[in-house]
Amino acid sequence: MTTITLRRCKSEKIHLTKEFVADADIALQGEIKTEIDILNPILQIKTSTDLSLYNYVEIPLFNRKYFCNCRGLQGNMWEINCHVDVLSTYASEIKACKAFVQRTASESKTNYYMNDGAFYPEQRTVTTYHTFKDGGKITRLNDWQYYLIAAGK
Amino acid sequence: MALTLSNIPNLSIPVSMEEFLSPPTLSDTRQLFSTLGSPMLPDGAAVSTDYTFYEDDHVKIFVRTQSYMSQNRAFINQYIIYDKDNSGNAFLLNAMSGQAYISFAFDETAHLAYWLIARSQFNNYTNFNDRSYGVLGGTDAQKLRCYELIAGAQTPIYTWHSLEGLYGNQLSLGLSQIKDEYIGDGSAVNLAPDSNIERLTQASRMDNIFANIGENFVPIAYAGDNYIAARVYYDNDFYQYEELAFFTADNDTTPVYSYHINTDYDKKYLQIIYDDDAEAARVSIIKDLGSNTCSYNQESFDQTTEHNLWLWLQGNQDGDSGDPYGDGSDDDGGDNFGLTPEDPLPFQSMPTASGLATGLFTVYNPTDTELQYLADFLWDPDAIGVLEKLFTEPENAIIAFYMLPVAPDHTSNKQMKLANANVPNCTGVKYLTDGSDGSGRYKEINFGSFSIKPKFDSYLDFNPYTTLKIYLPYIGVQNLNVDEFMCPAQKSGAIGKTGYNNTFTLKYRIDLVTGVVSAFILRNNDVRYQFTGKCGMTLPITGRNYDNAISGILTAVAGVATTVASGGATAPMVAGASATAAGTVSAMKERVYHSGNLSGEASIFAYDTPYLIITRPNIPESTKDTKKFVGLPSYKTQNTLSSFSGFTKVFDAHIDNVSCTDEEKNEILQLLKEGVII
Repeated sequence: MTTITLRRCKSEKIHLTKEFVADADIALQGEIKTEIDILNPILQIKTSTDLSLYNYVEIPLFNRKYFCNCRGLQGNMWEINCHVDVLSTYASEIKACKAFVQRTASESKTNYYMNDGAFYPEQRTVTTYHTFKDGGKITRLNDWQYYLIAAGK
Repeated sequence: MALTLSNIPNLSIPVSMEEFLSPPTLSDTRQLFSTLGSPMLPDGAAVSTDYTFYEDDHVKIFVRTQSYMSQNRAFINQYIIYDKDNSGNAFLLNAMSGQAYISFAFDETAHLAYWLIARSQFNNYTNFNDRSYGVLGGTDAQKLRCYELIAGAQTPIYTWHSLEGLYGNQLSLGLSQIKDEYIGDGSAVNLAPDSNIERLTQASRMDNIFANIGENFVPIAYAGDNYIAARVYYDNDFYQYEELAFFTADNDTTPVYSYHINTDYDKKYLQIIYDDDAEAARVSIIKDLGSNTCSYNQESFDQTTEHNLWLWLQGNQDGDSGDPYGDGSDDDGGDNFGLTPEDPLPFQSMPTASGLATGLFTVYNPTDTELQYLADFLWDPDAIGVLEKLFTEPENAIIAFYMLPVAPDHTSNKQMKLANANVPNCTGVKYLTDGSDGSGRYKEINFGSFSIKPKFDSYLDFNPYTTLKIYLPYIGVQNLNVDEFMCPAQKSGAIGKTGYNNTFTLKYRIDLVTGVVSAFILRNNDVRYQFTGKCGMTLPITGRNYDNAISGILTAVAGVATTVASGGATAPMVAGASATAAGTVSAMKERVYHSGNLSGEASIFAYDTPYLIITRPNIPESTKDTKKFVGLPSYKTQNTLSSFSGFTKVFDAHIDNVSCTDEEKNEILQLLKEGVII
């Protein structure tokens, strides 16, 4: 006897850790009677429960988690088309992998000096003018003086 | 006076040092000093728990003995002072009974020396063959210092300079980035405001740092990211260190400050001073006395350690040069600040060759009234006759007549003469003379210093997004490389956090005879930029003279850029190239000149003080939130994905140790490249 758990996932596909609607899980039991693709299994289940809102299934027998689409058939039959959620299934192993990370939201891992177009400046620029000060004082070259060079001593 | 080898008594010196590695037992020491009576202490001597050398034939040694003066036999700390005797052959202690001699044993190969107490058998001090030796310990640094003393090492005369700040990669500093003209004489420094001090808390990081340097080389290590740790003291080979932090302030980055790691009130501050001539550097611990000033307490280093520390500052320490690509132990690779040594370009002193003393010409600095008298003289028929006898063309008596926007620094007064003819009523006219520091023909003007702080703390602070120009009076507007002025900035931090100062100074030098102006932009007294112009305005006296003035105007006008505006009006838009969007925007903007040629005769109308023109991009308010959707640039390789959070996108990854099918691995990699949320 195989148990599968249908869940309602709230998270985007790209999350490693998914969030689910609370208290909505359904555990179903049954037997696998035919060949099945463990990465893209198609399940047919007979149940009176409305499965139309369920988009996620966990099948411990396959050690995997899946995204799924539930399609209603005649006579309380449902067809669940699944595709393995590799990110959640292997989340801990993926986190232990090393990578050459291009972009991240972690500020401590950010190199702001890499110019890959992360920041989008506006067309308008800001020009500022700054004078020089020596001890808080501005030096001006405005002490005009006469100079006369005469031959001899 | 340093101790010399000739002063060392020619006692029986053991061949092997090993037998003196063990300190004497307490019973030996007790027996030795129990007969010495009261120790001699210099007046006002402070209690010390260490051995100290004097450089004047005195040696002060701390000895811990057991007193027989009381029934309790308490341990007391004593100081023993040894003086050289009149023969100069031994250190002799005057004692009530028995005598003890101090001797030095040295190893020239290891540059180590030990001092030993040679005690005679009681009442038999003349029998030199009947002695026992005991080593009174000492650290390696003290042994080195001892060797330097007895070897007659000359103590250099230091001219200390203090460090402005510390930048650079781990274990390596570029000296040019940290030197400045401020000389720390150790008298006093101002306390750092508490709010500006950050703390380093990762002890494990300090362990990693110390593991990468020779323990006996320098007692400090640079932690990277502007933190530094100092080994303040050690006890029984267990090295302890202060965790220090970099002092970030808006207007001053002179010393590096620290907190004592254990107490909040016992603040200590670190200051590094150096002397390039002596090739020495020292670490100074400045202790807070509770007031607004600190005392300067130099660490006593031997010359070898001082030199090693100086080498370390140069970034030339063996195994300490760093790797511009990163050493693989962390993600600090790529930070070249401090790794690339450079040569100094010192600002030269003022020239002294002027011609003023030759007598072939005189440069007068007359007033309006004196010029009126001159004009009267020139149109006097008698005067013209005198001049005609000496010059076929009388106007040759006047070589030049012009105005400059500055007054001379060195003048004297005398009778104005034209070709030896006295100009009436001009008996005390100023004229240029050579000053004591050089020629009076040249004048130097210091406009002050400036620094450009990053606004964005990102690539937006650099070319081509941020541009920097400088207006120089009588020269015009010149472009500067903003990258050079903006560096170095903090590597990490929130957007908008200011980085560190990079201070530049603008100086002018003017030739008062020709009106030539040279503008110098200096960084730590090294020349970085030099521009030239002319600020003199010719005044007409003769027709020929006026022609020269007009031609000067034409020359100045011709220097104006013929295109008022040019630029990237035809620069192509690169569709979809978001990576170059900012640069494309910049390229499309017209390049507008802020001024034309302001030299020569045009200089009279030139704005009379320099200023900087900084153009920065403007970014939308929501920029900080983009990290949630597209992330911010990382380009890190050393960390596992677990150390990242939020939106994360990879160039590539090794999907190792994941037990899954190939199809799944490919999908994992594809998703990571598109971006996932961890």
